[in-house]
Amino acid sequence: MRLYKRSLSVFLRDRKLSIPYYAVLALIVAMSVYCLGSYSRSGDVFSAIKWWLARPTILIMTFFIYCGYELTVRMHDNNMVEYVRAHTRGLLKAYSAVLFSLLTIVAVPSSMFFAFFLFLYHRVGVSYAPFLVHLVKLSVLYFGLSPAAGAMLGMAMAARLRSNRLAVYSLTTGFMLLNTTFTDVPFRVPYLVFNSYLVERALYYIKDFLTLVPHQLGSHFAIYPIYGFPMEPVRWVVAVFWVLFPLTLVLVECFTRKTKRALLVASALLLLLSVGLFSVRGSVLAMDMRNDSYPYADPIYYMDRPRQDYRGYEAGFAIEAYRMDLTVSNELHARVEVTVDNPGREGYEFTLYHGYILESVRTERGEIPFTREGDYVSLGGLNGSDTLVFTYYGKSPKFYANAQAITLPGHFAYYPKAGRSNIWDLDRYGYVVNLPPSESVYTVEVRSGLEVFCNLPGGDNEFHGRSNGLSLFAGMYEEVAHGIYAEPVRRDQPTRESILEAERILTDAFLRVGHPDMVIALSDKRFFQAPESFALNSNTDKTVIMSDHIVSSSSASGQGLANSIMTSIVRPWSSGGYWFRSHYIDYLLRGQEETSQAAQSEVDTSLLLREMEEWLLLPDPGASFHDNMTEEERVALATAQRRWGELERAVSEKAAKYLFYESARKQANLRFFFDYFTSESTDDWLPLATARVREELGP
Amino acid sequence: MRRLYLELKNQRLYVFVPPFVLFALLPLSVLAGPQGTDPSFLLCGTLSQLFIPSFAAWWPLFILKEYHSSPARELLVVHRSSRAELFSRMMALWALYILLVAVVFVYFASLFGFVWYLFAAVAAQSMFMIALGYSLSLLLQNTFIPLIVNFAYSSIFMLAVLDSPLNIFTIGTFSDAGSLVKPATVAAVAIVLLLAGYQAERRLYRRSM
Amino acid sequence: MIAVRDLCKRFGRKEVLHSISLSLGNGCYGLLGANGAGKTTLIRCMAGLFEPQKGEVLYANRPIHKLKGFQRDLGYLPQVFGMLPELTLYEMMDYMCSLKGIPRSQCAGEIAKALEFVNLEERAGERVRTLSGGMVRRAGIAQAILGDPKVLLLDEPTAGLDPSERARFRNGVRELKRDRTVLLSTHIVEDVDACCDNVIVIHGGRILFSGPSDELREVAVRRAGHKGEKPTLEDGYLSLTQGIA
Repeated sequence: MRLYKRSLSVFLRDRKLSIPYYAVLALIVAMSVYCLGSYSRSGDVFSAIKWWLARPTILIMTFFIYCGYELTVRMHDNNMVEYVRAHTRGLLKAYSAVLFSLLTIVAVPSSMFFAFFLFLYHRVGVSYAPFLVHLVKLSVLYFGLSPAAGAMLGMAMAARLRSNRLAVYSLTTGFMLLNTTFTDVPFRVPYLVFNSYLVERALYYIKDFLTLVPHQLGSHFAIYPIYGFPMEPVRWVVAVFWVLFPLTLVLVECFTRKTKRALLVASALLLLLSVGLFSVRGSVLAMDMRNDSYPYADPIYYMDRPRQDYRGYEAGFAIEAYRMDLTVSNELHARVEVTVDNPGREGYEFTLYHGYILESVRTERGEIPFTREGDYVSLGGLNGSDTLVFTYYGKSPKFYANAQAITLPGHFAYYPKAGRSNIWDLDRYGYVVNLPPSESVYTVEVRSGLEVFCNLPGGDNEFHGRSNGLSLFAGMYEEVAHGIYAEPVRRDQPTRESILEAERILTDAFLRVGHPDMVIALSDKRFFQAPESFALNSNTDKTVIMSDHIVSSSSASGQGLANSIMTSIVRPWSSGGYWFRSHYIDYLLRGQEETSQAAQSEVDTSLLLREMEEWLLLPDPGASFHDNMTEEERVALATAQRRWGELERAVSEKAAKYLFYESARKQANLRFFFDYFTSESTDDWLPLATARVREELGP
Repeated sequence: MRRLYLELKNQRLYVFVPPFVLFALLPLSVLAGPQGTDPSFLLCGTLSQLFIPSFAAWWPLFILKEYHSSPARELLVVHRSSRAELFSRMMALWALYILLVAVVFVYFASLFGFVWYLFAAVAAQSMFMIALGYSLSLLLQNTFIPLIVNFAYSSIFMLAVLDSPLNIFTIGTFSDAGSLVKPATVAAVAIVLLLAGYQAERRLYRRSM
Repeated sequence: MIAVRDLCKRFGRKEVLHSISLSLGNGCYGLLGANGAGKTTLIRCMAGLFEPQKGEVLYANRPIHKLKGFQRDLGYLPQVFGMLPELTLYEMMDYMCSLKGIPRSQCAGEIAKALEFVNLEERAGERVRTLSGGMVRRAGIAQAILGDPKVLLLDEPTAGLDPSERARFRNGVRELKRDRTVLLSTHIVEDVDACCDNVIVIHGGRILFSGPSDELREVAVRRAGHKGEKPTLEDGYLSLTQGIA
């Protein structure tokens, strides 16, 4: 106790330690105030915490490395180690005193953060226990264990490196930079310059092992409420490792002979165990610039592979029933029993996302051979059996399933689907929404520590029913109203009223365009609000409508939902005419309602026609580019690109306003373009629109 | 110069960190653009401002460390050839560092054409970082905190808080002389910091012993 | 009470101590030797800081590494001594009491006694950083005698002390040596002469001489044919070592 008090006195009396410490405490108070202010303005609690508290954590950690080092090394600087060591467990007692002093010093800001999070929970006013638990865990992992690990690292460097400050400074700098996005561009070098994907993975492996606080300084990715701050079990393992491992290095210095050897062995075992556990971390949310990250993994994967187009592919069989036994731990472990309607075929093709490693395919007669090629599984005959059992495990960077959250929407091939279908659309930059034409019977059991929500009836993570897609969601997720599932901490939750409003708007729109057959009974379906992150790397699956449920990451308003649904219906295979299509949908859904467009003056139709014709004649700037361009050609190209951009926005807006709002034939125009957008036509919209405008205006 | 050489040699392998960053890490990172595209001058400007000023203070701080915490510090302080020796040392290190940066920029000029506005900007920023490290280390009698502040400053203002009046960096194309207004201000602030550090150095013996 | 038996210590390929054997009972022993002779290495081995390649150090006839109570009975002053500058002298002594396992109830008395021994009692409330080099050295002696150790190993205890403090130190050692073993490693032969009854001369890692001080003086007479005044310990030491040289 006395040694502890003396060590603490040393810290508090040394101005080089205590003054910066008080400054850090003041900074924490200031950051908390800014965090609160940010939340009050935006209403987004996760964003506020991330920007003001989580991102600067590495600086706090580095400060505690400094504290740990300076407090411990003064025994070496003042030549005390020799005579301290001469006493029974002298060095151990001295280091223990320093250790407890450091833990006390760390505990103060950690407690401040803890208290702040409790206050923030109360301020947010959402009575949702998992959110409170999340905040508590956050304060322990990000703001408790991480600074403690910093202090331990500093202490270990002092014990081992002693007064070799060059090494200490270098290691500290390296550690700090590895915990920021400073490394983003240099880590791209192996892949982009040397085409070495393996080296990039190795670099990120090392970085991840050193990363105690994801969403680092410099990260601009948002935190999504269903997942919250990444706190998967592996992050706790890493944090505890970085507290214990430096501690063992310090203890090694305190002992001699057998105990020293035993401690060295213990350090090595701890290192091996942690690296081992880290290596099987499975599904972890990676929101950064690496090739394997949430936003980039799939686009890069599919860009690197030969293009295959399976539109119109006929599977030749359908799946009547699924019996699924899913275990979600570090990643998804699945045993899926599939009953096909046509067991006499000579071969079967299935689609299963490439991230899932297929261990075996069995019938009741035993294992059958299979061929795995990317997202596809090819089998031979089933020898009369109509049931197959697929056993697999793995993960998807985007559609994660781990101990923290599950987002597995029914349109994604996380379980085997009949036939070959594309998972990614390179042209539209998004996931293909592939749903089977008929429903299957699902019997599902999910083993997970989380409460799982599913489109099928059931409870206690067991579900049974019919659908053309099985969607599973879990995490900070709840049934917020009957049949409506959303993130309780999210500001824009859907309501029964907004769904009904969307249904009304869509019904009205479909009737106006002469397609009553397309009316959707939204209110009869379960509604799953998907995280906003779904739109991060995909333009195509913001809203997916399945036979019994809807998965949508759109805003909660009825208008927004209707817009999102109509966007998913209109021209699913088209990538051009984005602006024109957006305006079209706006006018289609708002009907006769005054829009902001109406407040502006009428369209000058003759100017519009001239601009449309000019644009028709303008060559595509992208197609004109080639490597050996002269300076004049480059200037001309830049001019053409600018003009193209000006015309694209202006013409799209004015053409849509004229055709769908001002024109006497606006209803006919709406019907015409609805048929165009929902067809498989590859014609460009501009000539069609130009022709209609010209026709209306006459000679 | 002999003393400077020996002080750099005293850093052993750590002396090669800034050259590694300048001659390997930075050029390779500039080349690491999206596949099939030419290197981007905008990216070059961003990376140059991220890497170059951060590591400008590396040599100076490691040398200053000897004056604060090495066993020989008493001798170093007593046997200074002038009361402003450290100040001269900082300027010499800045000049040496900028010389290395100029070599890198000759390479960048071969890629992008005229790059010398950007060069002037990073030279001013490097001077600022050295001046900040110099004055802080003399004020605090410590080099660990200035080192942390140095990298924290670069990380915060290049990666997170881009628009702040305290930010010495600029995200832009450096395509005309107008882009030198901010670097000129940065250089002026650097000179003020150097003068403050110089005043602290003159009182070094009295304060440190 | 403390004995060294056939001790050998090597650092890498350099053999620093060659088969050293000594037996020290109560009293004061002076350890003399040139720079690099192995004095500090021997003392560190005896303090249990270094593990010898061969041989052992015995206390009460038991090897010290197997004896849990040895460090409690040991007072050690290293050649290079320092303290935590932010603490006061009293607090630093208290720190050492805690390390030595001295019960709290006895600490105040022990600290007062030790500081009085080195004439630093008036400085007890001052920060260590304000003490001069000599005072720090005296404080080092004070911490060594905390807890009334039975074995005192002092490496260059009077380095940096002024003449009056050296004289005070010698008087103090004369008191201390009565019921404990004191081993004084020093270059200052006068200190050994003044307070040590026995001398050990070490040269090149080997014991050249171990015995009463008078016997070392006789060496000067025998080897150097010293005539005239009574030879000093230094004469004896020089005669011994110059012979080797």
